[in-house]
Amino acid sequence: MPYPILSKAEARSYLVVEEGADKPPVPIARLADGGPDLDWTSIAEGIAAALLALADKHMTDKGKVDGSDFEAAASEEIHERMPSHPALADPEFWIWLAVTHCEEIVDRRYAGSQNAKNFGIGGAGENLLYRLWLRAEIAYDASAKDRYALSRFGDIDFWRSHIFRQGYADARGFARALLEFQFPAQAQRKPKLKILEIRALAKHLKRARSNLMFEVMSEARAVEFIESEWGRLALTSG
Amino acid sequence: MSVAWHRTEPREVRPFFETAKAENALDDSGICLFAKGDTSRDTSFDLDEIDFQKLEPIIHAVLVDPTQWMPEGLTARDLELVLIAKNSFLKRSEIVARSILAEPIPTYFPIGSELLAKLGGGRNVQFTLALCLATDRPPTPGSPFVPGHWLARKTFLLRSRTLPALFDLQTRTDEAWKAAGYPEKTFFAVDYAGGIAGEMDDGSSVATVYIHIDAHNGMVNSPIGAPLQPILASEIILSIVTASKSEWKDLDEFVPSSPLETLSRQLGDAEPLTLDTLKKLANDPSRLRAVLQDRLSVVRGIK
Repeated sequence: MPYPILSKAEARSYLVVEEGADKPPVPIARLADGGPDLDWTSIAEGIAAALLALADKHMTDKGKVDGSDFEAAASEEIHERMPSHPALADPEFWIWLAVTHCEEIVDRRYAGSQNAKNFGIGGAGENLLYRLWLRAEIAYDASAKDRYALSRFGDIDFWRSHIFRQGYADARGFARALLEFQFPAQAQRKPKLKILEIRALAKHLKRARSNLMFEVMSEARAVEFIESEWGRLALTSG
Repeated sequence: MSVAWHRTEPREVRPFFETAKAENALDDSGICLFAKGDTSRDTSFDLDEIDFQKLEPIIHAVLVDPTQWMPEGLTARDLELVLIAKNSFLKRSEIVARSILAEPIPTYFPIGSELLAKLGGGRNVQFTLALCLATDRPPTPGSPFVPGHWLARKTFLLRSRTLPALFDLQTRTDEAWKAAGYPEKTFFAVDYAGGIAGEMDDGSSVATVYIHIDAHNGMVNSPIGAPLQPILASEIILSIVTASKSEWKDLDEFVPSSPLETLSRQLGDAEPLTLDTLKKLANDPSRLRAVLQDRLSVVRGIK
């Protein structure tokens, strides 16, 4: 059954307007085929309303926008409202969502530094709505009392550089293990490693990935592995 | 006297030199994509939307007799065969199957529709068959020692057959065709915008292809789509190449990462098409059409 999509070019022609020119009308979605039939308009409207409420709470018009608190809260909201559906694997679905229902949210999140790439018209992974959903999707633990606990830790740079852009995070158990390692419960979830240290560890784990199928590790074994790798790295760097 | 070093070719060197004999143990494994289809040992498949809707993949594991490659110090009880399915955009991977080598191992691994749906319907999915260490071992130079260290693996990649840098697809109703100055029942039209030979901005394409909405929906929802999609793709690319040739006919080489260079790689066989070959083809539409039909597997779609 169909779900709505917009291509990069369609979104770009709407979002990137020459100075002085009138903004064109919002592009009409095309339909791609797949998955069960859902009321995508209602779903998108619900997501937009929830995220706007969070934007009102975390992002005022005054001063520099700090998106970290907003993104930490927003990821859970969008994940709870988004159904499991093949559309989520289509970058053009996320462009449709960002452009047709969440334009104000993206603009407020990046007030002062707006860039059309946050709608996914450059790299698909830069779409803000997709990144918010993915953060919660990776962190989600159905067996935990607080299923979204891990999604609330880490700033935007941590998630972007060390989770979203890394192949090792395709193994979600490993990604959660890295989150547990860096934001340990026994240390009140304060970051364990400093920025340069976590960068070095991420680079090391990326290299290890070429010889290691992280998917076969349990989460507990993955935490052990990360701790031992950090132990070795810390020793060699003195 | 100083010696200048030049890189001739990159080569991956793995750290497990003690298990090097095992690296090709899975090379003959294959994948069957469709019900009653043939098993292929190829590792990369470009599929149309029609193909994804009838995807029923089965991985065929072919493992060389372990007596021919089992590294010293390891036994079948130490190793496992693992099949992993992954969609990198969703950042989701699932273990489809795992078996200790000492136990009977299935030869065929069907991928169910439920798993495919979890991985986006099969689009841009990888299936990796891997021979891995199953348990921790004391670290020894040249040998695997962590569970998950792989000795051999083979990956099958299923990609959507799209050329995102080349054209963007839009549907048109009868009224929209008429408003654009075309007959109401036009099947498709290509509007080449320019820029194929140069660097592209992110998100742009060199052409917009308009297709009648009834035809588009018909192709997606009925069996006629299977043979028609690659024929349509051939005609679209032919239109773009011939409409654009004035922009690149005098170039000496491709602009790196230009849509034209990307096209030359995608239309190439073992090697990308050279610029000279593309220039000759642009002047011979009949032969260009033939190359496109061959590369886009038109005949396979009709068979």
